Amino acid sequence: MAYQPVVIDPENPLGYYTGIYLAQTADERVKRKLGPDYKGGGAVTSILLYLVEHGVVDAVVVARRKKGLYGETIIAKTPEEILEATGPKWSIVPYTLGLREKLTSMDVGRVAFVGLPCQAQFLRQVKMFPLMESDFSKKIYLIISLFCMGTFAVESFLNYIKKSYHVSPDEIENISINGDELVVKHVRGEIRIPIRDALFHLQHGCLTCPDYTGLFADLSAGKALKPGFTLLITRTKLADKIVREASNTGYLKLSEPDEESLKIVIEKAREKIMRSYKYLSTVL
Amino acid sequence: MVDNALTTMQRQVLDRIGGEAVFIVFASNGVASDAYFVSKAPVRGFEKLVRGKNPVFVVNAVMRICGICHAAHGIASTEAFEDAMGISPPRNGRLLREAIGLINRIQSHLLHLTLLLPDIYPRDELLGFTVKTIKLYNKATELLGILGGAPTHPPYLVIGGVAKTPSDKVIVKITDELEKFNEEFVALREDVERKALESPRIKPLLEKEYYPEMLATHLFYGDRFNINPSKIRVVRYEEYRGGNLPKEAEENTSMIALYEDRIVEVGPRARLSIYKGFDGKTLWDLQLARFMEVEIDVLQINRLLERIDPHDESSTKLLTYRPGKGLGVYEAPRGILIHRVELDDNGRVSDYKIIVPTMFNIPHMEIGVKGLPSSIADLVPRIYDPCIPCATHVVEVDKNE
Amino acid sequence: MSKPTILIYDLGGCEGCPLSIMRVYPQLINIADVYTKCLGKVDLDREYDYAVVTGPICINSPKHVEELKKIRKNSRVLIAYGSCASVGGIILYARGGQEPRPEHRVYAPISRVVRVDYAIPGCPPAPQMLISLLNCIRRGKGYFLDLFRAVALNPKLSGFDLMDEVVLNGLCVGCGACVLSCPTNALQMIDNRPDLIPEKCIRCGTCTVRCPRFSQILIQRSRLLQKASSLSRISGV
Ligand SMILES: Cc1cc2nc3c(=O)[nH]c(=O)nc-3n(C[C@H](O)[C@H](O)[C@H](O)COP(=O)(O)OP(=O)(O)OC[C@H]3O[C@@H](n4cnc5c(N)ncnc54)[C@H](O)[C@@H]3O)c2cc1C
Ligand code: SF4
Ligand code: SF4
Ligand code: SF4
Ligand code: SF4
Repeated sequence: MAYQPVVIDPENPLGYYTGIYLAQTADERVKRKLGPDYKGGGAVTSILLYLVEHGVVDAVVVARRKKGLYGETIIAKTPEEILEATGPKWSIVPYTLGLREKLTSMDVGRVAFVGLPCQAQFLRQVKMFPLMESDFSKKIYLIISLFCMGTFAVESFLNYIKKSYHVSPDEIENISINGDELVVKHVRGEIRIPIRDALFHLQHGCLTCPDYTGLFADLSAGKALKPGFTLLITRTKLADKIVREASNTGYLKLSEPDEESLKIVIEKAREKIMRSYKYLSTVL
Repeated sequence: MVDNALTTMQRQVLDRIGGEAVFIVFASNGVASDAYFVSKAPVRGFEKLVRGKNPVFVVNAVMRICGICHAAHGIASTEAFEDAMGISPPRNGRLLREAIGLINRIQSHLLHLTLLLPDIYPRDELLGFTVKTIKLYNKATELLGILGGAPTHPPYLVIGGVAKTPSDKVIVKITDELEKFNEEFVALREDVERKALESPRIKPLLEKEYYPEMLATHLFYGDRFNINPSKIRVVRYEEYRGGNLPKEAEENTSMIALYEDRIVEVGPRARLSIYKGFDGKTLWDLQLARFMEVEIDVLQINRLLERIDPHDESSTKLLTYRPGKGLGVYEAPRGILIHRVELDDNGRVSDYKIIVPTMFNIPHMEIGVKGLPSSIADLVPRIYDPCIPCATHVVEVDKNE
Repeated sequence: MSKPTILIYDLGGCEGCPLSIMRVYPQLINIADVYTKCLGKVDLDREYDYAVVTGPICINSPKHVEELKKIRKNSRVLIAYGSCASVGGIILYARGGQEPRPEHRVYAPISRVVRVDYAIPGCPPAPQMLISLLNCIRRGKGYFLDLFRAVALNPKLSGFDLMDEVVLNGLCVGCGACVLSCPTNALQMIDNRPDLIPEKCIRCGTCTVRCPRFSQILIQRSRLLQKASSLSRISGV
């Protein structure tokens, strides 16, 4: 079936989808990697492992932490590389010329991409509407988008943490969200920053972005309310099939989504569309 | 010129050629006696467009003169800049450039074949063959995508060489693909040649001898030492034809190029005649020359690829921005293509001239048609494979040079 | 149901665009009846469901302007295909003055002369593009369709505009989409923001429609434009 056109609509903020799941990794390697207090579900990593280990794709494009909040995109071909890139990187990781080089020249056929909603939009456009003859359209097999409320202007945010909390960028080990707080783990302990304060350091461009759940992706993934679970939204039959297969082959545990998680996602997605309307009107 | 009462004038908007042109043919009793090739495409003026620009821009720009022989323009332009800057590409770069140019030539010849097929095949067989030829054309196109970075306007063509060296794997892949390509091509060629013998439209071309003076500089690449550019004169069409032209011909957007004030033929037949002893004298031999070229070009690409060292650089990164004059001569699919550049003190373009092969060949389309049935007149330009996008972007070269 | 008719017509581009379409001819003939100069005669006097126009319009060539108007009149959906036709592309640099027709001076995207329904940048767009577009038009909605409609209304799109409207305007988020969309590698990422190498930009416009920020701005702007023009029609301004 042809791909469903994307319409951004506050009345229907999750867009078109074929299924919503609560997912958790069933893979021991992922669990070990995540450690006991990781709040995510490791679902995305598990799906990527399934794709690569079952030969569905030749490689996956993921982001690996480089230093502090900075990451880099890598083309991972082995389970080890995929496991190493587990977990969110708290900034947007730009696509660079090197990526196109590698994608076009390396002997990879099918590739699964993980990115943020804005990057999923780009990938979908490349796949559906190749405006360039050198586009790697044919190689894009699956587009996975993480949910995204916005990314930080990295320098600004780091400077804020340093000034207000005396934690230097090198010391930061992990950042996660807990309720209304941003939890920053560092070598000497952890700090809790009210999200409201952190929001000031979001990138301006993100304020005009209407896409929370990755409407252009095949598969979207974000946090579920229940710690240790990932909320998955499948938007194409292909994604549906892959998620089920990953579950059937023991990579993933699937369950019905809870009402509360759903409600929150819908709310946030709508909130983001409205936010974008508001900011967009100021820049036109 | 036209005083016979039986003379008729036929004006035909040419289809199935590269670009936009009208062919005006005068005929007596159905036999063509004179013709005017009038190109209609607007003059975009690339020589003026690139003045004052950075050489890097110019290479990207002039490739866009033509969507058919983009690589040819790219190569002629980079050669001209290198000459002006006093640099030359490393061995790999030169080899790769030649390979890229030859793939572009194959591309162009196959495209031309696609345009020619309706003259050869009966209606019921045409579609199948067109699709088959396009698929083959797509194969060549794909190879250019790999070696040149894109199938059209290949971005790897840069001043100083070729931006990217293909890996061992890529070279093996291309060699394999070329082998498959060649098999299919040989089969296609045989079929086309056989069918052409039966085609009533082609028949007159098979019989009509027309073999003017030939000019070429190289079999595969182009050599500025084999031609004296100061002997080329570019004139307005009216000036070349003289006399009272049909009104429409005065609107011609193309110019004519003469060598030592004579008309010469350039292109596949000229190359093969001069460097391979080919002596096909008929108009149809122009097409046979294209066929032959595809085959020898495939072999040559393989030879070039064998000599490429995948671990070596393909471009020199040492661009020098300084004043200078440069000349690039390249054998484009349709023949001699010349780019000349002058750089100012900042290394920017102060003057740019382009002479394209179609400017040499237009006179032959008009003369070659004489004596043929006017019903097939359009075939003569088509067999010469004019390229209007190129032909309409040139300026008169300085006469006192 | 009979297949829709589609006209492919070049106004004086480099032919790269019609040739890119020719490469999907084997697929295209399955979904449409194709009329193109590449494969036989075309007739501008008959009606077409779709007209795909390639190449820029030379404002100083009455012949071409007239042809373009005729095509608009005779086609249901008009598509400006490729950078030259949609945003001007390389030919925006043209300054005229050249022999043998120095009067050909001004080139523009075709939307300068006629109403265009969809405008597709790309120099040239990859062959598959047209097939996707026709499928999408049939479905009649979606973000990308809105986007290509918006390009028809806002043809001023190049790497320079990307810089001005998005990057220097502080709206860039650093996703890198533009960098991966430039055919001449005119954009590079510096400190997580793209920067333009001006001498490499051929004004093809690809980066701008690939940018999530710019695409969104374009769509919103075109909505406002349309609203304004329908308002002015109602009030008779
Ligand atoms: C900047 C950012 C903002 C987010 N905001 C929200 C939010 O507001 N609400 C919400 O519910 N969820 C948000 N998420 C998503 C969430 O943090 C998890 O990534 C998601 O729930 C998937 O969890 P998982 O455990 O299944 O993924 P994992 O199994 O940990 O796999 C995540 C995969 O994504 C890749 N990845 C991580 N970060 C990036 C990146 N920046 N670019 C490209 N690839 C990346 C990793 O390499 C890994 O392969 C955000 C993520 C990021 C990166
Ligand atoms: S908020 Fe939008 S633009 Fe910003 S990083 Fe997330 S998806 Fe990209
Ligand atoms: S957009 Fe590019 S390929 Fe198309 S006609 Fe213009 S220059 Fe040629
Ligand atoms: S920056 Fe590149 S993609 Fe953007 S308009 Fe210029 S050439 Fe085209
Ligand atoms: S595509 Fe737009 S948002 Fe993304 S890096 Fe480029 S300019 Fe910035």
